[in-house]
Amino acid sequence: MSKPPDNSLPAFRSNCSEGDCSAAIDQLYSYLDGQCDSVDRETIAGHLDGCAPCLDAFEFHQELHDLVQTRCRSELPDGLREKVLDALRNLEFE
Amino acid sequence: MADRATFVEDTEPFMASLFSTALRLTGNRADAEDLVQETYLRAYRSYQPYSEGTNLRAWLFRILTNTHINRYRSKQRRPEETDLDDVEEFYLYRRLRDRSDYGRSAEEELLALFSEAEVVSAVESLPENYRVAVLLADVEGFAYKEIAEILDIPIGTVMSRLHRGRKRLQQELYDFAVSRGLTAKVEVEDPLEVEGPSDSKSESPSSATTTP
Repeated sequence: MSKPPDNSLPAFRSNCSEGDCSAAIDQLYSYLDGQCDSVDRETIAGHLDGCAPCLDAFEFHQELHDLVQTRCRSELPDGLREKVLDALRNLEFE
Repeated sequence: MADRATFVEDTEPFMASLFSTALRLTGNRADAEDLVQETYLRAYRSYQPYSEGTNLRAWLFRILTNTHINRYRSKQRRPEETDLDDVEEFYLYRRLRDRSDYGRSAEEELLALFSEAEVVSAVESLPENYRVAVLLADVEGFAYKEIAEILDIPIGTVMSRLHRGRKRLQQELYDFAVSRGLTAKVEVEDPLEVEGPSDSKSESPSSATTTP
């Protein structure tokens, strides 16, 4: 933490054609969320096959998605199911 | 009113995921349990079994979020959408990708880096509008269109909230990494060099919004 700020982070897109990379990165979330149409999907997948920096970014964000999904899921607590069923039953007698 | 056994049979499979979402919305178990119970009671009162084309799971989440919003607004007021526009795109990625011990080959690396408590705390710190969008998309896997229907907002707004929520989440996680000494604080020289998806609040004509 006491290290001086590191200003050496290189750009995302280092060694391939800028237009393709920025088009892919623009659609990163749509792609990972499964919201791209099939044409865009194929274009992006094709780009990722040949572009390691973009593939790295996509994989990182997929992992981050998986992390959030895994960590935010909880088991149903004991007794909640019964509590809800009781409440529904009582509703019928109201 | 619908037959209770049918209703229970149809809706029970979604109880655990409704509870997970309720827990992240309310921040505590007791309120989350109450919220789930009230959701089921409300759903039961207006349940129409076998209605064609109904997305039962989305409908239950719609009731859950509406119930939460109504309660929450009557209970307490917290600041809503704070100004998050200064959070740059891909905040965490740009800072972690060059860590020598973050290797792209290590699939479990990110999972190992952040504990459950940290991820939950980061999610719960998001302003509510962003938090709901992130939970519905990232945890529950709803499509943008479904989230728009659940929250009664345009798809463009869903995308914008999700996008901002995710940026903020990355920032929160990064702060945990720094405070635990996992990584040195990094200043990014040109944070705006890579532009991400647009923040537009309006309906976007892009293909991303048209997938059924």
